[in-house]
Amino acid sequence: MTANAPCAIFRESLLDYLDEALHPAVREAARAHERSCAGCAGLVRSVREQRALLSALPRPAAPENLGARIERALASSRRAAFRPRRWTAWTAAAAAAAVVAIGLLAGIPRLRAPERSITVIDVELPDRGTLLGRFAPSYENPTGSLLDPLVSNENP
Amino acid sequence: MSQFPEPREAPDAAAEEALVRRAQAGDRDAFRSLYQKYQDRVFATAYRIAGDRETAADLTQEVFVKIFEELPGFRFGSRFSTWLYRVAANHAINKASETARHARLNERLARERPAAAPADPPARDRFAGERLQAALAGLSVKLRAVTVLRYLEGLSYEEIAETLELSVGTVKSRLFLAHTTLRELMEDEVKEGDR
Repeated sequence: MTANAPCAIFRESLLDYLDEALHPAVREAARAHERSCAGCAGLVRSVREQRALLSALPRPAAPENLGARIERALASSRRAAFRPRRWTAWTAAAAAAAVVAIGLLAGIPRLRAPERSITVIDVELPDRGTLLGRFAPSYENPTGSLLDPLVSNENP
Repeated sequence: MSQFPEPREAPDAAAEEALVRRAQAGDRDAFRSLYQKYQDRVFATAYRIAGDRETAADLTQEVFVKIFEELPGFRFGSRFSTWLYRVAANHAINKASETARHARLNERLARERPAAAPADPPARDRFAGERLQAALAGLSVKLRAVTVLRYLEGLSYEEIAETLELSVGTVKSRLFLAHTTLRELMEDEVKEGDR
């Protein structure tokens, strides 16, 4: 920006100029433009005055009963109907007990750990004959283990 | 900005977050503390944007009901106060846009004396202040909103941008337009006064 920069460029950066947020070199050029342009100088004076007046305007006082009005409005709000604090004490405990009871009635077979499948097999054991027993594979031991012999036909 | 005499006090962010979390969990006393802290500012913002005291009081209570109902879903993506201002400003803008009351508002704000002036300003400033209040009422709702948030509530350009969901550039261009419009409106007031 130079001393003869177009007014449009000066006005585009007017707020930053007044906030002293421009780079020093740009600020100097803007100041030079302000000194040389009566129209922009008038605008700067007007905006400065407006900012001072606006900042000095008193905050309008809220009505004295505003807090009571808010309180009444909150009491009839949708969320107020839930009243979570009263819930958490014993109502929530009763609700939890109800869930457990329903679970016991309806969901136990599915909640219980799956039974291990048991396969009855014949196992040929060298020198011991055939062993008929229950064979139970598991996640820990997928190859299974012989639980107990049902019929032992061991070699004497 | 230091040149504005009414900067917002820096909130104790950690204490406020704790209060908000208690309110989210259903603690009504915590929510009461929040609305007591912010009700005057929300009312002032609503009043400046929407234009009359009764509407501003209605808007304020509606804003806090909305905040109360939506609080459990608040995830601290922004500061609580920014969210509150966003709800309040947009609610007031919508209300003011719905009811095209600019003509009546112009007269009412010019007539109405401020409820609690902090000091007795010199007569010339008082006159200029009254002209400015009348001119402010003559701005479009969008221009008035950025002006109110910047100069009456002391928000930074970035905070206004976040509050109104605009870019900083748009905030600045609206504010510049507000200044040039205010200047014209104030000059018109002077010309009418001279007749």
